[in-house]
Amino acid sequence: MELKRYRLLLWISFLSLSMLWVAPELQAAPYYQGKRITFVVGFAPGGGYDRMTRMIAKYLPKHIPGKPTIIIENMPGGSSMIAANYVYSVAKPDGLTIGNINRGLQIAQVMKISEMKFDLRKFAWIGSTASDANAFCIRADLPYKTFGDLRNAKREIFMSSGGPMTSGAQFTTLIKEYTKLNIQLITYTNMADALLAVERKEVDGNGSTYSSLAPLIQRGVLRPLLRGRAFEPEIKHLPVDEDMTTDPVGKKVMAMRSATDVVGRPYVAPPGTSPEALSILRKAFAQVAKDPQLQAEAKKNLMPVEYLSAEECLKSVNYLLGQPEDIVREFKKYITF
Amino acid sequence: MFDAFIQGLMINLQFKPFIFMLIGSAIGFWVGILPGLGGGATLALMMSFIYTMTPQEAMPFLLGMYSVVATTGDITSVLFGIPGEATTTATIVDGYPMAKKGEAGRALGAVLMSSLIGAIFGAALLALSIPIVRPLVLAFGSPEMFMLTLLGLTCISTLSGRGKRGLLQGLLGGGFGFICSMIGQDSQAGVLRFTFGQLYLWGGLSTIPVMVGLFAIPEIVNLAVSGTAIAGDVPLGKLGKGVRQGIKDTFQNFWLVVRCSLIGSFFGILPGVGGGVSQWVAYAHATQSAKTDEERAGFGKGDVRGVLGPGASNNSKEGGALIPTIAFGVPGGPGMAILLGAFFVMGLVPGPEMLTKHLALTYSMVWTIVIANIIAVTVCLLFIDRIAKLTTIRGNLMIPFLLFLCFIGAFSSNNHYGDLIVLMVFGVIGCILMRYDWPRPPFILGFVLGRFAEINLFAATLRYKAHWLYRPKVMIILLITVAFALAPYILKKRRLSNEE
Amino acid sequence: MKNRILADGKLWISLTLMVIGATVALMAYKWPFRTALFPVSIGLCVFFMALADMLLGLFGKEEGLSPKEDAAGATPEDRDQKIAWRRTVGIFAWIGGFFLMIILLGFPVAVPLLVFLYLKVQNKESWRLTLILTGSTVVFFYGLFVWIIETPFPDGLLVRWLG
Repeated sequence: MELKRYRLLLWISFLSLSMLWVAPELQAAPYYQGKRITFVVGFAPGGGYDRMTRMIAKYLPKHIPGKPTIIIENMPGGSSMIAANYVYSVAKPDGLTIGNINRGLQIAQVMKISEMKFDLRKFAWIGSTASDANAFCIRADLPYKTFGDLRNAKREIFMSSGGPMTSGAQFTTLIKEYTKLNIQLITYTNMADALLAVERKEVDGNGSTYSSLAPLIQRGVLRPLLRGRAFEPEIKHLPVDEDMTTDPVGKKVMAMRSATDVVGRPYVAPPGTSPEALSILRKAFAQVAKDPQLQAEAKKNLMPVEYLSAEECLKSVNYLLGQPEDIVREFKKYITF
Repeated sequence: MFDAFIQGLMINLQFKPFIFMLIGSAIGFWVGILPGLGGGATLALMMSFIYTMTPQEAMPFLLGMYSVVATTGDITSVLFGIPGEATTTATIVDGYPMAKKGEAGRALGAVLMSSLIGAIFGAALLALSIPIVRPLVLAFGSPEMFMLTLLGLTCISTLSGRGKRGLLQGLLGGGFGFICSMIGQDSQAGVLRFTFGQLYLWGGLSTIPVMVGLFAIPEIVNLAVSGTAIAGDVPLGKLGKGVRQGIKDTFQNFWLVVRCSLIGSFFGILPGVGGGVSQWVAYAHATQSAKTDEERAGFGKGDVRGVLGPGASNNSKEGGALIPTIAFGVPGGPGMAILLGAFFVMGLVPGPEMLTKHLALTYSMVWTIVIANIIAVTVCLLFIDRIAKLTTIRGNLMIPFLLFLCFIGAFSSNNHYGDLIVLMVFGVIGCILMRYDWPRPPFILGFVLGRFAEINLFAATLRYKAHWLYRPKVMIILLITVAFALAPYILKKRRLSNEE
Repeated sequence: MKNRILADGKLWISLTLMVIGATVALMAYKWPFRTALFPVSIGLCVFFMALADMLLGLFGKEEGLSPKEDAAGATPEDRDQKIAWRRTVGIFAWIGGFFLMIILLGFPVAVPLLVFLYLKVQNKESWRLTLILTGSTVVFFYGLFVWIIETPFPDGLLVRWLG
């Protein structure tokens, strides 16, 4: 009897130890194991959105349990509206499709663009990997050292932009309208041509995103004088555009425009994506943004990465979309999409 | 500067950079030949591989691919009448008729040799212009850019048919192309023009589906109708011998090749205008070398000079396009925009640093263009007999393959089915134009230049009011434009008076 | 007779361009000045040039209206017009059919299917040649576009409906 009990005890111990050894194989495999995530980028290869996504895609797998593979699918068109429509209505909500869409779509929804077949608030938000502050910059060789100097300028100030819908054009237009600065906005084929016009001294400045102007600012070609509400550390000290106007409606409209800068690089999943998958993705994005290798590469690329949570993104989106009709009407007077 | 020039060569001759350059060239060889693949999109894909490379390895890898694409893209244009790349469309106009006459070998020999000379010329220009490259690019403001688009548009008259009606039809084609270029969001107020509620059209029509539809689909239809091989019923023996003749043609028309290389480089330097236009301006200039009306009438029916011109300019523009990309971070063309991304990944900031601190690396890019093209052209010439024999395969066997390559090529522009619809619509338009002998190149010129002309005219006028008309460079370009437009008539009058 | 047909074809092109030019100018007229300037100017130019071309075609001398030669030097008279027309319609039907196959089945299925059907049904090739070429197409297409480049081909509508 004693021997039997002893043998039984031995078997139970042996089985328990074996269970411990095979336990990992018996556990459910991570959700993303053996799977492939597709990033749908709403712009052509080579642009800022595409480059940011490719950089993130390189380091993201190690922060997702199961280490899925990642592919990038470019779906340009309609300022990324085609990609957004696709992610909203066509892509399966299985956590395997992530859309990288234009932050300007917030404006599109404010303006109720008919081709928009989605509601930004209903996407399964993952977050944003950068804010993209605008900076109003003037050529450093000109005698204007402050925004006040510009107000006293005796001639038109020529500002370049890469297109009528770009954030630079919108930012500059609102400054022109509400600060009554004598600005003439000149549109070029694209941002690169707009910056070349600055170097060529054909125009006096540019009001685009800080990330695109940084190389010229660092080389001393441009001097930043003003910023929007959103900011990068390097331009934090600058006065804010809203403070340059006394018009209360103008302040609100400028704040509205700045709100789009906060959610600078939006990443969204289809509505109805499972909470489990969404939680994994949000956590992974938060972690990858702090990844030292990614940060080093981002620094090299002059593309700062900073994660803004899904909640913060939605807060910003809701702020924009919750504005009263009269402010929206005023906004629509100057901002196009 | 000379030290950096030699250092650049030494960089490329090191083991790893040389191997990567060979791999890049091999990829570029196939990308150029296959109409379904674009050089720009392939560059984007290759970016994933460069993260672990040094700049000395990554640049030969990427540029080795990109600089060879235009060379081998001409092969498809000649053999099948399908543009291997958007920038090799002009080669079709005379190259494909040569293939149909059984002169595929001659056309290929000519286009490959002129491509090589063009590439070397473009690289040499890049190398020599480095001390003056920044003031060179900065010299052309929006008024000058508008005048240059006007110069490009003047080529419409040279590319049009004969007689008053021919000229009128050319201008109409250009006008229609101009209208098509205005589809999409306008550059001034953001108003949607002619989009008919279609999101796909917001960005305008894409170049590749339009070009492939206009030029390749009619040729596929022709193959189906004729029921023969591309080379018709020409006996097999004739094909390979033409290669030597094609190479001879290149050297017999050496100065034409050099002038067209100059055109390609010049337009390559101008950001935005680029290869889409330079090939047509070069082609138009090549037609001006015709000494008689009968010779002029031969263009479009298989004149080797119609192949030499675009062949040279396509490759020389790559060296030219690198100039604003390296010196300013302003892409000289769509592929250059992606190359810029590679610069940032490598920790290189385009601008004065590339012309001072990293001058050796800049020169290594020059050498990459030269060496990669020498290797690609040599390989092509070795196998050209076999390549040229493709034109003897029964047309009916080729059709499904050519069709699916056209469709994939069009689809890859935006990964959108709308591009396939554009392909088919322009295929029908191309067939109708071809059927009624209506010239197609003027449409392409209007389409490529239209938007650019509009933006620059408004920029010039807003910035300078009417004073831009009196700028010295504007007046010089205007004189060149007038001379370019009137040259055929003046030369004809002089010829007629000499004959009398 | 052939010249008349040619002339009529060109007249139809001129007429179409007149309509396009006029439509463009009229649509653009309501837009803001800078947006409308080029469309209105070019639209009107196209309209009047097309009108001039049409008048030249109707009443002018028939210069440059020689029958179209193809690059091989054959003239349309050398070919049976009915066969040429039938083949033209046929190839366009194949092009349209290929597009429908892509929409319904997706590129990965449509491409080999096109090759197979064209060779077997249109050309009536042997089974051996058809299968070899179709197999080569599958290898080439999947190897290059799906496996190496990973081009994102969307699923066809039928594939999506089924599952």
